[in-house]
Amino acid sequence: MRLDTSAELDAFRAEVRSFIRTHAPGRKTHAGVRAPAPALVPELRRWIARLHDAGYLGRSWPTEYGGLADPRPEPAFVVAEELARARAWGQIGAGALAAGALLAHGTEQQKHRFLPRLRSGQDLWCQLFSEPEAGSDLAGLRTRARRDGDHFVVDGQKVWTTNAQYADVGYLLARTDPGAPKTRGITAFALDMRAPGVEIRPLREITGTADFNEVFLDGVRIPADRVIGEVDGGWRVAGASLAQERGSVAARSAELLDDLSGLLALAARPGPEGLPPLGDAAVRDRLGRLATRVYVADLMSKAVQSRMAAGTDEPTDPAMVKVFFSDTNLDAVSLGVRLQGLDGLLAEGDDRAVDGGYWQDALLYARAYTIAGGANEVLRTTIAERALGLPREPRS
Amino acid sequence: MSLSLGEEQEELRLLVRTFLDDKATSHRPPPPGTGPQKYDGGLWRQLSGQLGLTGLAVPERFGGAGLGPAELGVVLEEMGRALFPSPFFATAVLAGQTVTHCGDEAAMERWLPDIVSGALTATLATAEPDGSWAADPPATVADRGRDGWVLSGTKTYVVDGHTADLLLVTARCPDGVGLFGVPATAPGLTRTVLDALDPTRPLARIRLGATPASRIGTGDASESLAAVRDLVRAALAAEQVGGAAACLDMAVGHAKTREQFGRPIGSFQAIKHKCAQLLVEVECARSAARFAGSVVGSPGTEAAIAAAVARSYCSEAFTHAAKENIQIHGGIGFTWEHRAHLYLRRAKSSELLFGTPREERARLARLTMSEGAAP
Ligand SMILES: Cc1cc2nc3c(=O)[nH]c(=O)nc-3n(C[C@H](O)[C@H](O)[C@H](O)COP(=O)(O)OP(=O)(O)OC[C@H]3O[C@@H](n4cnc5c(N)ncnc54)[C@H](O)[C@@H]3O)c2cc1C
Repeated sequence: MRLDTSAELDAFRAEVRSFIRTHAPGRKTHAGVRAPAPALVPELRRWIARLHDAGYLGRSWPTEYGGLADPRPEPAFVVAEELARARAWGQIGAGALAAGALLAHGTEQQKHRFLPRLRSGQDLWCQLFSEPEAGSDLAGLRTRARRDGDHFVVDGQKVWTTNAQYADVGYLLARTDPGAPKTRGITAFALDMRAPGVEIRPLREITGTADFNEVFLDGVRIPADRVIGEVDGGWRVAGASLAQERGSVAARSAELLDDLSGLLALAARPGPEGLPPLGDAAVRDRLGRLATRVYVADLMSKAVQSRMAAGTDEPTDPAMVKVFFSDTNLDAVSLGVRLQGLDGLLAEGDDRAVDGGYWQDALLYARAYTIAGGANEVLRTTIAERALGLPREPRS
Repeated sequence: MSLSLGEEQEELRLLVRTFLDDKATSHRPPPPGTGPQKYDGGLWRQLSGQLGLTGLAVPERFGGAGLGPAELGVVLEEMGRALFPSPFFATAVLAGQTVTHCGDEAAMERWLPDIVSGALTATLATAEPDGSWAADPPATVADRGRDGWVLSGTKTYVVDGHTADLLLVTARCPDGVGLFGVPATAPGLTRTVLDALDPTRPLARIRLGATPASRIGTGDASESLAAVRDLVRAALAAEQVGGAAACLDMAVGHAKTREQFGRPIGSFQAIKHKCAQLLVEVECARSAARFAGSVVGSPGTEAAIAAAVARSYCSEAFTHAAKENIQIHGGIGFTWEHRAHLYLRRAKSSELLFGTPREERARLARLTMSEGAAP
């Protein structure tokens, strides 16, 4: 469903759509936030540069760093939606997150160094936040950074780092003051991923693909001018940059709508004895329930987008969109496998797998959305406390 | 258009909220078995004639404000929140919108000004004892007698049917489904108030025995009635959002003040997560209902899809909120005196009015199959 937009935005959407159709390299074959095949990466760097040059990514940035200083979030939503709709690649890794941190807290020198390289696709970023002992309780992170003259020396381990295998720069959180209360002794850094002492080991996910990694940091030296924001002020930097990540609100429902179209096609596909699943009233009911949720997820995301555009959004809005989206997504992709009957047994390696095994992979991947970027249980606690004012529970 | 309220809609919302807070608070449920809650005629005249609420979606040439389903939704969300007993839904939505969209100027002139002023209460009678909301063709028959049309048959689940001054009735005609106006005082008409699950929304059974009636419009009315049904469904969805929001407010209020084990029960995650989930659902329901309110009334399948989405979602969101509210209240929420059960009664009942969630889902599956899902 579409909200009325301005003629200008409609024209912009049409332009973006045709740009993507003409220029986007490769179509994503897997759902979700995945790592590209190695061979595609050089082409994706050029594509990321093109998206920035066209004013489609980084549009809100100040003009001196290559943006259009367009404060409206709507064009960014349109771009995110169109990329997701087309299953095209956009920025990969943590570029948007890092840009948010740099724009809000970076020094002039850092902005001039990193932002142009980010726009040109020369630097891919990854997010070095989570650790084996610090996931939901991120402030419990243990990776240490010790001052040594005009450098910091970092020791520790990060985990679940998506796209670390391609990243040039890591947006790192490390503990600089172990004596301070948990959130106060953390510092944010821009880490050169090629620095000596950085070791990246791929991890294989439940989907069988290797999208994320472990990153070991052993005596890694970071120049002090790579501290983003204040020393010991990293918690604030991380908070501000997470708040910048708005596009995902729009991208997710576009992908869901596309999945709904896929489900409708599956439901109409003749099964055993030539009968389509849609002939069954129970299937129609399940499909109707799912269509309801998908449209509602889309409308909820649009409501939040319009609040963001009007500046009336609440801090917990993205969390609400994410919780509803990820639960709905789980239902959607489960139904996708279910509608295949016995063919549901096949995965993408089999050339007879329905839709190339998309739904089986998506079913497994669906759990990433309920865990990554804030597990749903933790988000519900946040919503209850911040939006409803229920008593807070102990935390860092 | 946006899914947030405009400035004037927000003013309207505040006006209704203030009115209901001042005038309509703390009504207790009537004792069991004593029939439906009665409405206050004085308040009715204030909200219609004075505040102009019954005329919001009536064209200006009949004294209305010429607004539409979005504004009706604003009012109904507030009324649903307060569980305000009044013939507003029956008069302004069911009957008012049926007449407004019937295409019969004479009928509009005859009834709309009185609906606007509050002098006339009215309702729509389509359901029949066979259990369908819009039997096509209806079992109720219309015959052309010597002095005009007469109707015979039984209508049931008629909202406010025992008090409405005017009943709009569907009946089988030689040329399709006909729509008729029948004054409550017409000969051969008897009405029985039903013992309804929801005492705050009275229902009646209407028997018509060769009852004289005036025909509204000409030819088959199925199409205009279908359009009205989308308007009605959007309005009901808005009312359900209000009900769900009230349940959430009540639950959160209780969770903050009730203490067990030395701390507020709202500090326990089991309770917290229920409340957070309800907030997500209320926000989702509101987005769906507002979107439906902004597109119903315009031609095309988008309105039908939006109404089906809103009803299918808001119905279940409200029922879920009403159930969880009772759970979060514990024993006190299980008493007749506490208002929590009234919301569950309203929630369950409004799921069934004008199409169940299951029927809405079947419609939606059909509509999206023919339309394709993508925007
Ligand atoms: C696909 C994927 C990609 C990722 N990419 C990155 C990345 O690029 N960079 C990065 O830094 N991180 C990344 N992450 C990590 C992600 O942010 C964490 O997995 C997430 O924060 C959860 O932490 P955890 O895995 O340690 O789980 P835990 O925090 O151990 O949680 C386990 C379970 O306990 C529950 N739980 C925890 N605390 C509470 C509480 N207080 N109340 C109730 N329940 C609780 C959780 O909800 C969850 O169900 C990624 C994760 C995934 C799955």
